[in-house]
Amino acid sequence: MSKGKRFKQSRLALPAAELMERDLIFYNNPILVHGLALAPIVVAATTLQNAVMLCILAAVIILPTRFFAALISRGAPFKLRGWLYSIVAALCYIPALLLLRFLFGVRVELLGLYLPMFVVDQLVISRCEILAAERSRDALRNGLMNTVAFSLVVLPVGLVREIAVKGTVWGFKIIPEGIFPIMSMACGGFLLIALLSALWQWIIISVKSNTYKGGEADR
Amino acid sequence: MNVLSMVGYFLLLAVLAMSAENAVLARSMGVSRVISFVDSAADTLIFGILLTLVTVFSGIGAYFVNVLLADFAYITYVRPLAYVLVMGIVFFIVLFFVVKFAPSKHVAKAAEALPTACFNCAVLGTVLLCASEQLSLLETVAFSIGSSVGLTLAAIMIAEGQRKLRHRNMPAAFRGLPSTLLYIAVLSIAIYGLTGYALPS
Repeated sequence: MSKGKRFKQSRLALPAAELMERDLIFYNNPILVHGLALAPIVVAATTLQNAVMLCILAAVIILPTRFFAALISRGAPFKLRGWLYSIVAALCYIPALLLLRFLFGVRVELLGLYLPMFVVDQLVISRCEILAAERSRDALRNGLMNTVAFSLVVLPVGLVREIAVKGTVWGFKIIPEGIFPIMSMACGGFLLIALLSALWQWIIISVKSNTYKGGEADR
Repeated sequence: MNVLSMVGYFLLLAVLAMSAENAVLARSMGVSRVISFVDSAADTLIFGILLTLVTVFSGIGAYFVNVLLADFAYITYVRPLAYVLVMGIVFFIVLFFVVKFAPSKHVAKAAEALPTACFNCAVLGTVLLCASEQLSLLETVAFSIGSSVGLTLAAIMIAEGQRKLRHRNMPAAFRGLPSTLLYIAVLSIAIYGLTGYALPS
């Protein structure tokens, strides 16, 4: 039996509840379910371009930080893990900023202090609060899932806010003027994330109830 | 500047950091951490005291780092790393004070909360803000105290709101995070209105 087939079968053998628990994109979305990384999304993701910059930042910082911090922190005292994770993230910030400056030039400054602040974001370092050290393979998998989950939320938020405030997409006018200027402010960001989170929760509840109903019907 | 006007300026800056520039409600710094405090006001207070100590000491440390690295061409690249190193040193200093001087019944809880109070967006955000505004040492201390006290007050307010929002009539989709964020959005608008700004139209 091929490796892929075996993997697929082992996944199918897992109970639905365990699959839901392991999923970090839909059922356990770090932003819309657990409220992590709210600071950059609420304040800095006001345009699609800012959202793309945040995605690149997340991609360059989260994955290596999770992986290397998991390796280093195995032998380290539990209380020091937060510091280790932050140091690794701050080191990853250097290539991230170089890349963003190369791609976007001075427009990177639009993100202000939310760019360097990302190195201690809950999304990046929250794993250090769990006593059991993370295995390297899990760190890679979870880091990748967190990056995808973050991008999945930040891109639509940036798009909606840009249309609502300026009536543009990536700077191109699509409607004559903004219709909801409050979206440019922190309170608008909180409002939008709250509504998205409620929608996400409603979908999760519906999917879960259908899954369990389906399971009972099969029996 | 005489002593009285200096004290007045210090207090004004602290109050500004607490209200109009509130870390959580105006800048969303540390909001992910704050919404995780739900039940214990005592825990929130311990966290607040630790956060204040860490922010003030980190602010002072970062001020001297800025002086040292003022002429370094790549300061924007290494600034977070330098500040995180400072925060780590401050972590040990505060841990020493906690173990030596904190009431014995709170030592274990404080030592447990210290890493989360030390490495978060609120501390780094405040330090970065002080650096970008080029505040003096005294201004940095005032702003750091105001910012962390403001965050603690916001945390207490949000925790109380979360308790009130746990109602069986609340629609299932809005239970938990969505209703908390809506509540924070309303508080954020209130803070904005309190400072005399008009909403964009």
